[in-house]
Amino acid sequence: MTTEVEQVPVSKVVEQLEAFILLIQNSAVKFDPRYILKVFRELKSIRRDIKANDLIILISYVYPSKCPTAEYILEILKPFSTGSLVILNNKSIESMILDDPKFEILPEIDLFIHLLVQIFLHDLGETKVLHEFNGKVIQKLKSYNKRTLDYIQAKVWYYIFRSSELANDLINIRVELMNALRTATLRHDTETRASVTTLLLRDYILTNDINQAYNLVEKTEFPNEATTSVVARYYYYLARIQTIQLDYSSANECVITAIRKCPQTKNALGFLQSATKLKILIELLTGEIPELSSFDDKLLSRSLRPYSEVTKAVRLGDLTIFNNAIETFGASLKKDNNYNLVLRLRQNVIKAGIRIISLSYKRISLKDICIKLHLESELTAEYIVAKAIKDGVVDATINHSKGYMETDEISDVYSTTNPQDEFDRRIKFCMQLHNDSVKAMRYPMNEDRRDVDADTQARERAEAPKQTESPRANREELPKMSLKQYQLIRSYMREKEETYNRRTTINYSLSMMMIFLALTYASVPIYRAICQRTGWGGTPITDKNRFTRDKLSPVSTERKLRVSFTAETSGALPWKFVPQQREVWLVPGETALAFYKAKNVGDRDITGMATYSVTPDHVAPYFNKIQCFCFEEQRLQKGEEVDMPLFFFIDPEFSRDPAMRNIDDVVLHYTFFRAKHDQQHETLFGNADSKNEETTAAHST
Amino acid sequence: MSLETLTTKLTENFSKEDYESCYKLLTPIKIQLIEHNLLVPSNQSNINPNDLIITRAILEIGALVSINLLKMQEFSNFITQLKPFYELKLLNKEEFKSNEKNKLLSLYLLLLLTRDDLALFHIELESFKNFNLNIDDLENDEFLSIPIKFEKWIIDGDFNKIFEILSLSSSSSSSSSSSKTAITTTTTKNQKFPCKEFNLFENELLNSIRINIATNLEKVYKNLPIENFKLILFLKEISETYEYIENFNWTLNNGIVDFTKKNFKIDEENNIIDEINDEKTIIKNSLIYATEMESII
Repeated sequence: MTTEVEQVPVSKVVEQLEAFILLIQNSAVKFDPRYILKVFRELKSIRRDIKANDLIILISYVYPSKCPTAEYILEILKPFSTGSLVILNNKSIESMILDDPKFEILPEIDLFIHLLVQIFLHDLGETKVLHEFNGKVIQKLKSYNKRTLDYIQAKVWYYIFRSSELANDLINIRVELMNALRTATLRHDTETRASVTTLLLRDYILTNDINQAYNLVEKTEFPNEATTSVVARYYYYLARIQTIQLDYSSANECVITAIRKCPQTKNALGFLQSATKLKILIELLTGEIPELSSFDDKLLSRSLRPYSEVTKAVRLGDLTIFNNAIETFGASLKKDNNYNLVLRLRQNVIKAGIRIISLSYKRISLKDICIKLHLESELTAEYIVAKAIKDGVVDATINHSKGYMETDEISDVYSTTNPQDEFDRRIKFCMQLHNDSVKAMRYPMNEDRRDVDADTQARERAEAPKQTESPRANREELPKMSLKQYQLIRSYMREKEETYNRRTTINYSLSMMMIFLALTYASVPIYRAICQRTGWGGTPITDKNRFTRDKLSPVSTERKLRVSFTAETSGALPWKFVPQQREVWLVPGETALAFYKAKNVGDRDITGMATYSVTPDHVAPYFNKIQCFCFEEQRLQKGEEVDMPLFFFIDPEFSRDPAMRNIDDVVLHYTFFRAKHDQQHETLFGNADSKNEETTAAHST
Repeated sequence: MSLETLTTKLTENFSKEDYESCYKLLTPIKIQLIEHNLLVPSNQSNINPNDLIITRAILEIGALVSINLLKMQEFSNFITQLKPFYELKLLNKEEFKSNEKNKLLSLYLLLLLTRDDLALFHIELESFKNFNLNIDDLENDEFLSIPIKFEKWIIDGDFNKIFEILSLSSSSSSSSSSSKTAITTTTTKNQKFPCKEFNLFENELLNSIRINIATNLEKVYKNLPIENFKLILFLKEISETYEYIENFNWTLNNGIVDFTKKNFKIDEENNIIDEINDEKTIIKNSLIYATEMESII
């Protein structure tokens, strides 16, 4: 029964592993590393379940029988296998994947098997065996050179290093790592390069050889396009190095990058913890207080306890709390390798204390500072405060002779360029973010493909030299021209073009002149027509279409308007021209009739023309004439006297317009001029005009 | 000359404190060491630990000689050469441990402090973890506690404590001439240095502290009576005081040191220039934003 129960999971794991092998084969054939990444993702979930038996079965599937590699791997695995007899019988199933048992195994699969064995041994905690095994793995790695191996290789190196770390043999592994780094760099193998660089950094940091680590960072170039988890680790180490070197601001940047790049899975929790711890310390060291919420994370809060205590001490600026925190949590801080950094915070505690004092007191004696901060003497206090002021912790001055510290007036931040710079920084950050995301959208990660494409293109180019030259050949087929011919043709074409241009310009300017001339000539009649239609400039409206019935009904109001009449003749016109009545009273909407009397006192017949105007002139739009003598020219014979009618009304809108509220007096004024063509008429027709005058006079009457 | 004769000569001269002749001997000894492939230790097991111990002793003497001759560059070279020896597992066993190690390393740390190279100082501190010593152990060590305390005080700005120790040690330097007597006296909590080499740093350290203080003063005080000024800078001679005032471009009126700079007028002009530059940057920035916006839209 037990064998049955065991059998089921065993076969499942093996099936899964076989699927992995297939995927890896795919990636090897198609030059696409994504399959391998998929394998790694899924491997995480089953790595705990892998047993030695599964691996042995897998190896018997994959490797051709009697392969030296398979033999040494099997030898290593044998001590861990249980019930190996049963498994060995299964061998008869034999190679579902490989048709030919003598088929040479793909290097990808070979390395993957090695990696599986490494993972297996590592999870089992068999460091010694793993360490021995690694010697062979390194040999194996050196024998292969293929780009699809990069991801597997990077992982393999990780486990090699891990075993040396567990075996406490960090010095000897360096040589191998350095060699690997060199080959990886030469082969442009970003994955392995990144992974090995990080491992070397870890090596140096674990052996506390910070100087060496810094040299490595300085002298190598880290490929940022590697897998994010590796990049995150690299930035974490970088932050550590820079913190130890007191370069807090760049350390802060690095640690934030590390946390951002950290994978959001449970597996990365340990990394996230240590990175957060480092971040808190760096923030404290730069003189900032980390936000309380950063300690609240459910997963992190317990491990962050010592750090929250330290933060509290720094925030309050109290040395006693700080010392207590160090005493109680010293052990755990030492375990995190952060103890030295925490000790450096002592000065920040003092600075925070001074800042609090300077915020609360305008002026305080050094003695009081000394008591508050638990310092030994006044002199000490003076030096410490001086240092704090110089470091920009507080804005203050010390009066030495009287022994007090005086806080400066707080200067307005907005009078400086600081806010501007800050905004500038943020805006630039946003723009950078936008640009980066745009870039990321446009260029997906198919760099391997691109290389392949470039290769094929290059090949095509090399294969078809004729095609590339074809355009030049076409050009040569054109009839050849001598330079002189060419110049002739060109000058001819240019001349043609110029004459055409000149002609069009002349045409355009001529037509423009004509238009303006016409406009000038017609300006007076046009103006009058416009005025009559709209009532501008005191010209009463004479457009008959506007006299609708509703306008001609009188408005019921008490307010009557007085319309007065005046008349005038121009000096050149020998007429007598007077209104028959002086004024008329009416309400808006009421029609009224008025008469003017004109008499020709000259010695011959004269044609006159009347113009009219209304005062105040903004009443004009409401002043409508139905019938008026001024609509046409009037011809009076010698000594003739006529009554000229005027029929008008005021628009009922008048009473509703608030602008007309104060107006109850309107003056209608007429001026008679001699019509211009009257004179032409006389000169043109001379003596023969007397007859014509008769007919026109008949008309006018 | 063979290595043995050279070594015996060196130790003889060293015990006589004849540093000049020691220094002359060091170069041929180094050449000899290189010939025997001993100058750089390797992890090969076939090397006799005694050879390594002798080499280490020679290098230690070299370091002490060069520091007594105030050749600081030589001294740090020797320290870098010594480090692999100290890190060697073979020599880290109890019976092979060097007595001079902590002394030399703390001297090196002091040297870094006088050079104001705090970054390297902290890197060195980290490397002490390799010897299974953490900061608390270091603070209890009679040699190493000194640079660590100093560093703490320098960072805190607690300069008068450093001065106290330095002045104490210089007044009683005669009594602390040999390191052995000092070891016995530390139990009585004497503020002296455990060995005479530390006194070599006294002046350098004081000078670097004084410069630190002087820059502080400039920021903190408007003016200060010259007597107080002298006290704060731990100066003994009034002439030195004048030198400082001269070097930092301060003015002295009626015995009061005025820290405001002489070139006040230039400041105002600078302000105007600054303002113009500000406006220029605003225009430049908004142009940049505009082009960016344009490209986004």
